[in-house]
Amino acid sequence: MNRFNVKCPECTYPLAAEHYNTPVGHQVCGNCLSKVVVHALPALYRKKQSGASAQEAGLDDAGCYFHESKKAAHVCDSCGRFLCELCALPMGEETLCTSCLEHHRSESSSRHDFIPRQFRYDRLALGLAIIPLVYFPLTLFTAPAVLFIVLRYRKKELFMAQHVKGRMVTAFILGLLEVLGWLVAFIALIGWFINE
Amino acid sequence: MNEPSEYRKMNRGSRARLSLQRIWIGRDHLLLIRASGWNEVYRRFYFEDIQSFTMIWSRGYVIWGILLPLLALILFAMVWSWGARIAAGITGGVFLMLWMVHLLKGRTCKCWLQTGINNERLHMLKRVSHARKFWEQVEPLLIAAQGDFSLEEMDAVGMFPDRKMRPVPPAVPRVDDPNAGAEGASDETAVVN
Repeated sequence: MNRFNVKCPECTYPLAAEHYNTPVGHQVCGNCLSKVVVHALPALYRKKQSGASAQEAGLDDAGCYFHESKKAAHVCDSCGRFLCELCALPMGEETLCTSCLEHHRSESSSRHDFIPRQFRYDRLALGLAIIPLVYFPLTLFTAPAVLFIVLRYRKKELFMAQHVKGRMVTAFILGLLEVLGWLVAFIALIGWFINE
Repeated sequence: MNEPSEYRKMNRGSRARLSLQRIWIGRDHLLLIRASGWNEVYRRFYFEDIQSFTMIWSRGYVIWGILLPLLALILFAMVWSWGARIAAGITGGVFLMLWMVHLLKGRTCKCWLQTGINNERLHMLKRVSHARKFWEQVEPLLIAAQGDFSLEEMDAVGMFPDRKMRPVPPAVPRVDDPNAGAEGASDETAVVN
């Protein structure tokens, strides 16, 4: 059995390589009898160049920014630093250094290509504007929060987010109406007390 | 930044437990977005790292194919027995409609995308037709990044265990061997030099 064989996702039994990439049909897992279709790619058995073999820099060689004694083999596409095999991080078509990757993964980065997660303030604002309507007294606390979130984060750029403005505007209008509703109720209550 | 032009939407998204999953095609990677509540988690699968796309035919198609007409029949009979004939017709009709849609959508499946470090379930691909359409869109990009799969090459590389991954431990010197200590010392000297 080849050690690169794709395992059945249900039972981790190795699937026969002869049936990979067949145009039609499927193979049956020898263990769980599931019908499986496998599309395999060369990355399955080809080794990626590992950074463990960074060469020592000669007198005429440029050295790595992070390891002076190592020969520079790449240039960071973001900051332009020379990098040895050990420090170069291939990210798709780009090569980055560790510090640039760390910077791009933070939310403060202007690039959004590498962020691992994101908080959606537009959804939070809309949720806080709509969900408490089920039990109206809660809006006394949530409506000001909605207005705060919308005003505070209205200009925040969100990655892969659609209809942000629409959500923000809807949340703002609802929040404003809820606040106005409470104001009217308080004024009416105060007026009622004065009249009494 | 609202939906950068370098990303292309692949499907409408689908519920997976408590989150909504969507997948987009980027310039050099697939972007899997898992949205749960107000948080979004992004996973990137670079074309050159994807090892395989696996699809398993699930039993949902057969199970729902049997359950839905049965439910339609039971509910129809139940509501009919109450005397509400129109309501019985509507109830049965709705379930029959669901059954027809289910049958027309085709076989159900579960899909996984494998890279060197993980095997990610793609919850948005629940039908074989959707999975095939997905693969038709992605395959040319993956082949452009990696080249064609070769079974011969895989056999040549992978039929033997990788010796580099399992280093052989040094031999334990025998106690009863009088030259063991001397050999060990000379080896150590060699390493130091």
